[in-house]
Amino acid sequence: MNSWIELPFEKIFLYTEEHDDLNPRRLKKFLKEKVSCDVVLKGDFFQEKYHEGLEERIAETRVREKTKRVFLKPLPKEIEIENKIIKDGRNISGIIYDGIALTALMRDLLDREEKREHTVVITKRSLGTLEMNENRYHVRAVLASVPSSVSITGIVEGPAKPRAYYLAGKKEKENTSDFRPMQYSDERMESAVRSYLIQTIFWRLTGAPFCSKKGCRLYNSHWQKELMDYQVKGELCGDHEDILRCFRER
Amino acid sequence: MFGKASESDVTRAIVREFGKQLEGYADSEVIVIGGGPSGLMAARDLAMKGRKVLVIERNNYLGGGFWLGGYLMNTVTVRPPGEEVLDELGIPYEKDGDLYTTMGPHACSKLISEACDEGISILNMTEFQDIVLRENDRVGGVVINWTPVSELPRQITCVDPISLEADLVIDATGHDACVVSKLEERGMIETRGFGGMWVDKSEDLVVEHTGKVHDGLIVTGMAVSTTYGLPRMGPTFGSMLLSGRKGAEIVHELLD
Repeated sequence: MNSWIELPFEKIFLYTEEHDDLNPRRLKKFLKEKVSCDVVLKGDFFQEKYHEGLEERIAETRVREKTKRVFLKPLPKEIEIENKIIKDGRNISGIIYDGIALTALMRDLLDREEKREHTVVITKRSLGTLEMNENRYHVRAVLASVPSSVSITGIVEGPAKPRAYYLAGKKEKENTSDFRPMQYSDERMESAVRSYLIQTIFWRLTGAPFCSKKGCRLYNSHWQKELMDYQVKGELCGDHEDILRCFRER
Repeated sequence: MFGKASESDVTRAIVREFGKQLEGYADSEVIVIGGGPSGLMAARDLAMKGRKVLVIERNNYLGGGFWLGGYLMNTVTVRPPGEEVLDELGIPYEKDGDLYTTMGPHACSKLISEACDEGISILNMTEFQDIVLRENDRVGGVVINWTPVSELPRQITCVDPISLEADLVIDATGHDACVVSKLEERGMIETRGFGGMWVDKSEDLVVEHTGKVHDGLIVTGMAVSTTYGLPRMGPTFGSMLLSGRKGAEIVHELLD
């Protein structure tokens, strides 16, 4: 592998919302070691970028219909709730935002340097994009763009649980299954987030955030089992490790 | 065994008392449209705070879907922390895993009884037909008629409705969101229609979105789901009770 490849950015801006299972300093250290560039830690994205009327702009990006992109003028209560989410930094699960529209809004809020460098927003918000083949929204764990987003809710709700999990009663799930899907409060969350952060880096480096090799942490997991095997426990495959090494040794 | 009364005495007593009630509630502090669990809970809590509350119910009976749990089975389920309301109302229940179950008829009749004991007034068999609009399109009351009027052929039911005034109106009409839909017909609001069933998310969202939807109008219960396009939750009632309670708190604050 050639070692002349230029890193297309010199800094990573990492926005994180508070989460008990995420340690921003550890994430910063991880990224520094992996990519060998400056990492600037920031707080809650919408708190830091707050301006009057932001809550209305966010509410406008809510998914209204599960099969098509429809945007409606938000009702006052929806704006009030968005205000509360920003101010309290809490999540209200069940609200899904159009990932493309919300990313466009976030891009609009980035300063010039953040646009030029690599900016990632870790959020508890649920981001969906329309799956063209099925014509319906899917909740996403990661959206690679400017800025990129890693969604905690997306990690929990996005990759599907085994069919038996949905069919089983709660007690059955607890008693019979040795497989534990990702929970909102989960010690495995940070490992998964690390993998998705690396996916956004690869999108920026190569245009391809995913790897088709099972076992690589860039694998595009559609199931919770895959998430556990590849994002939580997995490492980069040899090819992707080599690419990162080239950038590190530039 | 019984006291003496003629047919005309009975008729006069009914007319007199009903007339007194209707006259007294021609204007109220709060009119609750819909006597289901969220409407009754809101009305009961407001009456407890000393508010003058009138409940309009289109059916002969109050309680809406609270009599039955689902699929005609009369066990009602409540998720925590809804059992706190059951405790408060004196409704017995049992724990079933993470859920609480109770007999629909018992729970419903207790809620009705509590609301009546607190002093709400009720017009049943009365259909909400329209809103009264004031300056800046504030909702200032409701237009009502007897329920049977809309069920009969038009040529024999050309009966004008009457109006009742209120400082605030609560839309607790369930999925139909009848009051909100009158605003929508006039292009003053765009509702989203309720989504698919998702019990785990919908109850929190309904309570969270409960509140003022327009000047003079508060929305509670499943009407919240229709207004904001939230998922439905099926036969579980904790959020209906808590949404009604939250609606009452908001109304009480607005009236102060």
